[in-house]
Amino acid sequence: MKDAEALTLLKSGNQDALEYFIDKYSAYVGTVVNSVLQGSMSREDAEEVTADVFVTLWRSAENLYPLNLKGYLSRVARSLSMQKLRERFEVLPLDEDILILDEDSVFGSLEQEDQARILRDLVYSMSQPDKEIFLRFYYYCQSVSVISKQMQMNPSTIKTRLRRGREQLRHHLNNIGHLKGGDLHESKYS
Amino acid sequence: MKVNIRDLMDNIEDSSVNLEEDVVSTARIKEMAMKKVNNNSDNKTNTTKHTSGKTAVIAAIAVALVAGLGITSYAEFGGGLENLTFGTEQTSEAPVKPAPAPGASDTPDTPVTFPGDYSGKSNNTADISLQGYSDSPEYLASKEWNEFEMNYDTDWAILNEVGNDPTEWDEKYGAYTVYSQEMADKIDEITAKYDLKLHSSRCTSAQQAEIEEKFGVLMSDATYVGYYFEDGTLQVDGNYGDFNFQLRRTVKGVLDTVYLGINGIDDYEQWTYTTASGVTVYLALSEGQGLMIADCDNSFVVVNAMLSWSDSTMSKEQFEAWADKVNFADL
Repeated sequence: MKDAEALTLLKSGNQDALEYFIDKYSAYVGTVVNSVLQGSMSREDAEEVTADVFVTLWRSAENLYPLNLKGYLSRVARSLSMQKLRERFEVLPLDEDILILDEDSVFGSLEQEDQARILRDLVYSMSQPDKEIFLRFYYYCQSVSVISKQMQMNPSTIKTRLRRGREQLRHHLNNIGHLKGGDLHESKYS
Repeated sequence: MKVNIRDLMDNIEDSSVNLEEDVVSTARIKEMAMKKVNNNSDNKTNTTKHTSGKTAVIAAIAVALVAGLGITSYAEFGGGLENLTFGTEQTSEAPVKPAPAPGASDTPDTPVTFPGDYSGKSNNTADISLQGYSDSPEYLASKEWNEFEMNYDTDWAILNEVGNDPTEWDEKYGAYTVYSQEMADKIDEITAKYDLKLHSSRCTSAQQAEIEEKFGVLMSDATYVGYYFEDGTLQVDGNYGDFNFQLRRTVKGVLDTVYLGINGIDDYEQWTYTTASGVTVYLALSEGQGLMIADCDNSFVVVNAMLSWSDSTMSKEQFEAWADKVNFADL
């Protein structure tokens, strides 16, 4: 059975389909959850968050398309894990999480959906391995040392590439402008 | 104004990173999930019976072989990946972490409660140039810079001093990892030695329509987005059917330092193929990755097909059909 077929069954309330997705993606989802929680909670709590991801899948199935289920699951896993962290701890941003944009940058005035689209395009247009390093650090919340082990790279190189990624991001976000006519949904980069 | 990168990531979805998966208790997770689902008052109608006559969803890649136009040579040859590597590493254990710089704000390395598999594996890997073969100035320059960078500021002292702020070198060297005069001098030395120009300091991010308006269609039956420099060097990430790919076109005569990590060369089957557009390319195929390599007159083009991220498989014939979709003749 493939994902598209299973999703069709899931939409009709078929629990075998839910079990299919759990069998296929529980290790991946559990990895994303662990990555964000970074050992700050018990194994049971982490497993519960993982289970909640699939419950969310069950409840949201009607609105989903099969094109990128794995991406959807990673987003939900990340979101639920961050939510759990914030419920339990005061999560302070690190210095490297913050970008300082120009005061006249229009990025901050955009709708959240537009901000996400622009950010996604910028990150996905980064060259490798910078893109993967950036996603591992900021999306999967892996530490530099974990990234270093998994990507078999020197930690100093990883920090350098993260810095370069932030620089590129800052430059692009500062230079987002409007097409003539002022349509925010057609923002382009200068 | 300040933006938090981590918060900005809340609304994107990613499945492109190949994470090393932890061992989890699927049975326990399933038990918890099913209990919550069945206890939910808004639960859908429960059924454990598969519906009959279910629709079979077949994911397939359209194979567009044009008889008489594709010339295939499966004979072994000595070129290809061997002439692109910067060196092959035997990885048998995780790299030793150097001492952190004072004041480093790296996230503490807390233990993971789930049994994970972060130990190093014993396998070969290689880094390959995306600029040209080993006898080209572009390859030699990229190799020299990457070797310098890997051994420079290994304790992060200079980088920590610079921090997140713009530097005086950004204007000229913004396309490279330069944050000290020593690094800038090295770049100048390399470009003079190999008679190469620098990329403009910034690149332009662009959607598919803009890229195609400027460069023509890069690949048929594909969607992609990416960026380009003023000199015409470009990179896109995209989808072709079920598969993710990256395409990088590096213009000759420019210092470019991007490289690609691949598995050991022995994992790949390699052969030459003349595409429908009449360009002879090198193709390399392993279980998880495919590479198309074209040494064109004005540029060097590499397509990185990320096969391991798809449920579908790729045969040699299908990979050749995919190569036919790439407009190597105009790149």
